[in-house]
Amino acid sequence: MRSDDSELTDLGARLRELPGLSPPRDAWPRIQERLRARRRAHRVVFPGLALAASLVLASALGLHFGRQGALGPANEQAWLAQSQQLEQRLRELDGAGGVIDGDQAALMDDLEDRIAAVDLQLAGGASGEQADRLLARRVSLLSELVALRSDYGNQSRSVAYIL
Amino acid sequence: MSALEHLTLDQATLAAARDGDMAACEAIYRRFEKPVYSLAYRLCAHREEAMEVMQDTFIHAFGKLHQFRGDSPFWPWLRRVAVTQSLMRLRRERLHRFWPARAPRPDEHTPDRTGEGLDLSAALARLPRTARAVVWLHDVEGYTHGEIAALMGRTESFSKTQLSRARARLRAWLDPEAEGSPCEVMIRS
Repeated sequence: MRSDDSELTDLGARLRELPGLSPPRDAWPRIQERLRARRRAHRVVFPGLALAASLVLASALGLHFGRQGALGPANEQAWLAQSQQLEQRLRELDGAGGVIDGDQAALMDDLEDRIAAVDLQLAGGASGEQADRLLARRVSLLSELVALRSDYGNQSRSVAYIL
Repeated sequence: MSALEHLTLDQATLAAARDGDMAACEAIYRRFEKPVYSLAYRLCAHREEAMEVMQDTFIHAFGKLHQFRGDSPFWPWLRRVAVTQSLMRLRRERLHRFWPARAPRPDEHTPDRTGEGLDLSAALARLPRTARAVVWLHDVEGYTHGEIAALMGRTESFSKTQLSRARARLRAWLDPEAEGSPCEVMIRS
């Protein structure tokens, strides 16, 4: 039996002695490009009319879903069903392919980060009104992500918007 | 890693990076690329995913530099960002659960070249993602169970259980003859 404290300490020491790893050489250029894209994204760029319309729709959806109980699902199961539908739509869009420029990638990253942050809070044991509010927020963010992904196949100009 | 723990950034570099100076950002990146990538790789056990986490970490950190107090060591702050980004990616797996390609398997071959390191690194990579994160954060980065629980949105007992099981599995994989089968180890622990 080797489960005493010294053995555990030894395992920790061996883990700490694992060698450090170097990232690929092209890592910095990729980060640099994303930094520049993000800066461009924080300047307001006026997109084409079609895109503007879709973003207005996404924003409206966000407001709509943000107003708990106004017109949207009234309980957790309904929010979850809405989330699953949007995730399914994202999966379809993901399979459709297309080219995403740096600005769009930055925005999508940002949205995905926000969704993951909401998921973290949900995993933290949110319940009742708080859970409902978080689920509504999740649906809102997913809606915006779907709108953004839906657009990139049709647009020809780089685009940015500020949430 | 101890020298890293106490490394502070000079105020000029920090101020320039806050102003968006790309050379200053690169100087910070060069100083911390290896520890950030190493941490991300140990948590993700996948090179491409670690690369994405590292990118996200620096992007996020550079965007939040104004929140960093320049009079304290930089690495603990940056490490916190890297850990958060890694754990958010763990959570994101649920979002992308319909996309198998977004939840890659651990690399079968780790980049380590030394004899014992290869075995331990491979064993670590074989752990489930959450267990791997718990054992690395606790045993290597020095996080407490309370801190891990808060980061993961779980309980302290969850963290303790994950750690105990992860250690048992690692010991069994590293020394199967001494430990018996992983199942026996799990029962004993």
